[in-house]
Amino acid sequence: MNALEISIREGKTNFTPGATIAGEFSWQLQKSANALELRLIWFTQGKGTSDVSVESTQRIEAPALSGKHDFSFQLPLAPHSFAGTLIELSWALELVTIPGHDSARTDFVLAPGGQKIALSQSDTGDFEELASKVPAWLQNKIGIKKPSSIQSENPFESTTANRNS
Amino acid sequence: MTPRQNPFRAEKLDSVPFIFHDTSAAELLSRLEKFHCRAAVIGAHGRGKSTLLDALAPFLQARGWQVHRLHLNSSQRNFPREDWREFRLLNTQDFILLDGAEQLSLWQRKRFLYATRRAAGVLLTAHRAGILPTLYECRSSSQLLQTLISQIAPQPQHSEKFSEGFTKELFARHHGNLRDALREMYDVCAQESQR
Repeated sequence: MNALEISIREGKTNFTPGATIAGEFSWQLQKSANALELRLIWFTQGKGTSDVSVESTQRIEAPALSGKHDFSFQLPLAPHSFAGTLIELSWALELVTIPGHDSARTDFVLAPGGQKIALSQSDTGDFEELASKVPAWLQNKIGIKKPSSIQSENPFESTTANRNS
Repeated sequence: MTPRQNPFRAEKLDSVPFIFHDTSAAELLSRLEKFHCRAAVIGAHGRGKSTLLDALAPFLQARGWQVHRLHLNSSQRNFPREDWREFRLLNTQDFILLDGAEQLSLWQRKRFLYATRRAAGVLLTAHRAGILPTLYECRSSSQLLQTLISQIAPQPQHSEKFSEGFTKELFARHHGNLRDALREMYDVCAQESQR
């Protein structure tokens, strides 16, 4: 089995928007791969359909069977890491072999102050206050509507998986 | 409990395997051959039709067919023009799995079956019988819902929210739609963890 590892410098897991995340990734492959790719990603998890975005990549073509390599990414200003009852947005570095299914992932927080934003009032709080904490681009993506148009108790209802069965 | 810790989060529900409680993959594949590899899986919303197609796909691939998975739903009720063009290129190596055939009009269904006639097989899902011979009818029950809940979240058996009575009520409230019932379990788990 291939061994892949990502180490963030100084073991940091909390970053502010625009900061630089740097470190080293290492690998030990059982057979040669076409490439190794380190991806800077964010993804959502929760009641609605998951969303993933690859923000930046660093690729090594025809890597040796084992080795290590430094990495450095300037983090974007948004989206911020947050967690509520219905949805959570997380940032991560992901190292993958191409082709192949092996991967390693290290999660980290990207938010002002380096602390994940907690949407703790999602069940009983004021909807507009809650919605205002979600970035505008994400409001459109996950289907947050104005209170007057809410039919369901669940503002994320429109993101249900599109399976047809 | 954060959304990523919730056992009923969407990505986890999408990976729940089909439960062959009254049949087996081998039996269905045998029946499919009897229908000359043209058949339908039928059932109402949330009964597991798509999950059954997912479960059968690896068996079809293992037989050497290239499986093409097509989806139609209320926001995509017909195939794009390119798909219709590509249907003409299908041959005996290709097997079509179509999810949501009821979205097609009667004319489009006939056109689809004619366009894919050269493919090795067509297995589709629909809410009602009639488009192709019925391979299997997906049904749900509160027992099946209970089994699924136990599989997805095996630990908190002590909770009253995971009791048989609650499952029966949940099943009835969603009119047998397992997918919707499991989605409600997301809220149940989230609320339980806040207590």
